[in-house]
Amino acid sequence: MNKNDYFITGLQTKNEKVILEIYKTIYPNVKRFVLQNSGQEPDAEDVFQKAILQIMARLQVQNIEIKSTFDGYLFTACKNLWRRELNKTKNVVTIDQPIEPDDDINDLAQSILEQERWEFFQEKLELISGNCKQILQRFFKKIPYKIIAKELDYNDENVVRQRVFKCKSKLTEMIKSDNRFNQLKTL
Amino acid sequence: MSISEKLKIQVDDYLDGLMSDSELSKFTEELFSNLELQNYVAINKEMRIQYNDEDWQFLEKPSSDEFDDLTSYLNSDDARLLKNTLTKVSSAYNKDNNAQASKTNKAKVYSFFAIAASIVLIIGLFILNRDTNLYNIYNSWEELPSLIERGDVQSDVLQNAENAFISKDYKTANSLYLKALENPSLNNVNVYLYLGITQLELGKHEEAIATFDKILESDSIDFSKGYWYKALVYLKLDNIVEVKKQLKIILKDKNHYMYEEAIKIYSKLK
Repeated sequence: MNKNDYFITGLQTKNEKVILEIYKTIYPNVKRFVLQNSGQEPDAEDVFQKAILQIMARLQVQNIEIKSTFDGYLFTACKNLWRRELNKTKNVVTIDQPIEPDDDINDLAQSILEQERWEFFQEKLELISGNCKQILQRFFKKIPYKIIAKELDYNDENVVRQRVFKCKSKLTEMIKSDNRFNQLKTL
Repeated sequence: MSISEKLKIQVDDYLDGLMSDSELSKFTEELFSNLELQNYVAINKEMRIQYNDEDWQFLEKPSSDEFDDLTSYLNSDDARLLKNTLTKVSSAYNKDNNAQASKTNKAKVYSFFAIAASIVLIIGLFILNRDTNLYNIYNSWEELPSLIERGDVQSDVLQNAENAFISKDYKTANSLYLKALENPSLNNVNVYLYLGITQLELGKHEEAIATFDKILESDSIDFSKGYWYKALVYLKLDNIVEVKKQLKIILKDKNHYMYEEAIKIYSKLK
């Protein structure tokens, strides 16, 4: 049994020893990430448990295949869930009322569909050429054209701008031509 | 009709918030009437969110079959059981981590006092050893976790078993725990623990050993309790060789149940 199957089977059978191993292997990194990004320890624990539930729900309902290592996949799910939490305050008007358990479940289910869409976008970026990927990753991280030109050895910012447009348009085409793009409406 | 390069540059400026008031008003006017431009802006806006490390793309409140399937899984007994197991393991993990952290800190600051205290303890234990029956120190069973969960309808049999156990009616408790174990949802390490102790108290030592072996074979993080309670069975039987054997196993890992107590007893038995 490979390591991924070992962890997944452990979670499916609620094997406490295996789950403790998952905690020991992956949780310290998640905790460090959350603490370094404006969170507290209870936030890290919450995110970690939610990410595990998220993965198990996706295995059960969506039949996903984890292509990377389980460790890496869980860590990315945790990072995204924490980023989502941090962005919630920007997007949701807080109403002073108690949170019902159903709201938690609906929110977790919604986060799963959002994670699915995030993976869809990452998958498309992986499909374009290495050069386009390099330039777009920098563009989306809001690195100025001037610096991109220097880093990737282009003559000037205008050449970079042209290249960004071309690459973006290739990527857009790939995203739009996939049915999954229209399946979920964004806010 | 495709979007001109000039307009594409404007879209970037618009999304970067770099437009002047007059440019913005002209652009929004165009945006309002141009569906192709609206789609171009929407996908560019989403790409900026999906491909940076800070933002997150939220979805509209979904109402799809997939969403319903996900909520029904998350509401299922299976998901609830997983959640409870995660909470249990998390608290064991934190307890262990905190203990180790505090041990390290204390060790750094108080190493001298620790050594001194150990010497006093060893002398104390040596004196204590002469006239104390070790088994009687450890058979109060106060350390056992209660098995009764509030509002749990299924736990009637466990409630009655626990009442019998507390009033030391081990015979009744024994048959009730055996009955509880016939129900798969009540089949867990703690029930085996109580069962084993009733067997021990009733003098059914071989059965008690077999029950504690089941705990050792389980997937529970509490599996190491099996070594401790087997040691107690052998202590009661005055089988020191076997007691030492169990204690030696406990001493192999600091995370094992009753590690500290095992150190004390082992040194007394030497």
